[in-house]
Amino acid sequence: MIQLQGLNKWFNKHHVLKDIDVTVQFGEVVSVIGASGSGKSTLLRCIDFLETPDKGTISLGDHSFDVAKATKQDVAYMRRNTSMVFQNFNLFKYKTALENVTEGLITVQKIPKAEAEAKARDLLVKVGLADRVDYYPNKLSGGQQQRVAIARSLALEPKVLLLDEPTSALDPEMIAEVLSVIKAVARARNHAMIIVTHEMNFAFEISDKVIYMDEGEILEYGTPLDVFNSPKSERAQQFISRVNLSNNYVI
Amino acid sequence: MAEFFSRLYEAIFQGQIFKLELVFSRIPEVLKYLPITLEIAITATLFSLVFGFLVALVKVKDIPVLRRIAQFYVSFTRGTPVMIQLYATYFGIPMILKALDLPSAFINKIPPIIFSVVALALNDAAYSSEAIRAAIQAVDKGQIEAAHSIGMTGWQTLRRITIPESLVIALPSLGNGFIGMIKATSLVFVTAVVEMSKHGQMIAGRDFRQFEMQVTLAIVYWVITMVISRLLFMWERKLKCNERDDGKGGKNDTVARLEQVV
Repeated sequence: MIQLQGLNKWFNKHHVLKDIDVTVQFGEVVSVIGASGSGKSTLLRCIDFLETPDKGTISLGDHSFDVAKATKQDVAYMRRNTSMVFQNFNLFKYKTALENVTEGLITVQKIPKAEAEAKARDLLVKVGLADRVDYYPNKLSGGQQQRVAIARSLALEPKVLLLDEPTSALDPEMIAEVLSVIKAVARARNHAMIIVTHEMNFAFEISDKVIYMDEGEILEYGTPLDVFNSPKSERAQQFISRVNLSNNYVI
Repeated sequence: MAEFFSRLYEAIFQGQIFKLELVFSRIPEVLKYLPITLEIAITATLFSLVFGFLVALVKVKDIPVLRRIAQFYVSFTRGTPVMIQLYATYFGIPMILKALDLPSAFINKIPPIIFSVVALALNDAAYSSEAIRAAIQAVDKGQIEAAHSIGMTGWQTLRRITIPESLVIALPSLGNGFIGMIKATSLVFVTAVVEMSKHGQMIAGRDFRQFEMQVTLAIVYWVITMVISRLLFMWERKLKCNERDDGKGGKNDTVARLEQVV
C-alpha cells in the first residue's frame, strides 16, 4: 500500500496541501475530485516528486521516509515505483509511440532492447494502437497520444499509477476511448491507482474510494456512494449538487 | 566616356591590371588546402560545442562561483578580437607550459594547429554557450517531467531528452556559428598555420597577383559556406519534421497518404 501521513506543501506562502492523510492499497482505485485549485494535482505531483512536499511522511511498500529529509534515493525510489499520466500527455516528441514506451524500460530498467520492444508492442496492442506503433506523437490524435502515455506508464509496472486529469485536454469524441482504456487498467487491479478527474460518472463507476478535496484539505473520503449521495460537509454537498451525475447512479 | 570603358575593358580582359582567367585557374591549387581549413573548423567547433555546453550548464544550474567565472569568460571573449585571442594563445600557452616546468623540447614540438584550434574553440564557445543555454531553457518542461516520472535520473534525462531536444532548437544558431568559424580560420596564419587563405596568398606572392587571389578565395569561401548552410537547413528540416502537423515529411507520411487513398 501507499500511505501519506500529514503531508504538507506550500508554494511560497500559499498553503496548497494541508495535513493530507491517505492510504491506498495495491489494487485499489481512488478518485480525487474537487474544484480547480483545490490541490488535487499537487497531491499527485508530490507523490511522484515532481513537486517536493515540505512536511509529512510517505510509505510505499516497505520503504518509508520523512519527506522533509527525502534523499536522492528516496526520490528515485518514488519515481521508479510510481508513474504519472499527464493531462497534456507529455509524450517525448522526437520518439515514436514504440520508443516512448520502451524508453523507460531500456534506460531506467535496463531491459534488453528486443525484450522491451516486445513488451511495448504488446501494451500498444492492448491500448488499441497496434497500427500506430511507429508514429510520432504529432501524427497521433489526442486520444491516441494519451493511450500511448498510458502504455508508457504501464510498461514500467509501477506500484502506484497516477492519472492527472487524463481526459481534460481531449476533444469530447476522444474521451470515451481513453476512459475505456483506463477502466480496463482499473479492472485488472495490478496497481494502486489514484485518478484526479472531472468525469464524475466515470469516477463513480470505477472507484473503490472517492476523495473530495477543497482548499488543500480532504473533506470527504469514502465509497463513491457515500461521497456522491450523502456528503457530510457543506462544501462537498454544494460541489456535488453542481456536477451533473447522470441519473443511473443516483440510487 | 567611351574611351574610359575601352580602357577598362582592356585592363580587365587583356590582363594588364586584372587577369580574369587567373581567378578561376587557381581554384584547384587553392582547394588543396581546403582539408586543413575544414579540419581546423570542424575540430574547433566540436570542442566549442562540448565546452559551450558545460558553460551553458553552469548558467542553467546557476552554480555559485562558476557562474561568475562563466559570465566573465563570455563577456571577455565576446569583447575582444579573434586576432588578438589567436596571438594570445600562440604566445601564452607555451609560456604557461614553461612555467609548469615542461621541457622546451616538448613545447617546441606542439603542432601550431593546436593553438589555432584552442583559440577558435574558446572564442566560439562563448557564443555557442549562449545558444545552448537558451535552447536548454526552451525545452518543454512537460518533457522533463515525463522523463522524471518514468524514473529517469537527472543525468539520464539530460542525455536522453534535454540534450537531443535542445540540439534541434539550437541548430540554426550553432550552424551560423560553424559558418562563422570557417571564415575565422582565414586568420590562423597568426599561429603559423598555413591553411587555404595563407596558401593562396603565398601563391599570389610569386607573381604579385594578390587581387585575383583574393577574389578566388572569396569565391571558394562563398561556395563552401553556401553548401554548408544548405546542408544544415536540410538537416534542421529533417529533425523538425516530427514537430509539424502539416503532413509533410515524417517517417509515416507515406503510410498516412496510403491510408487516405485506400
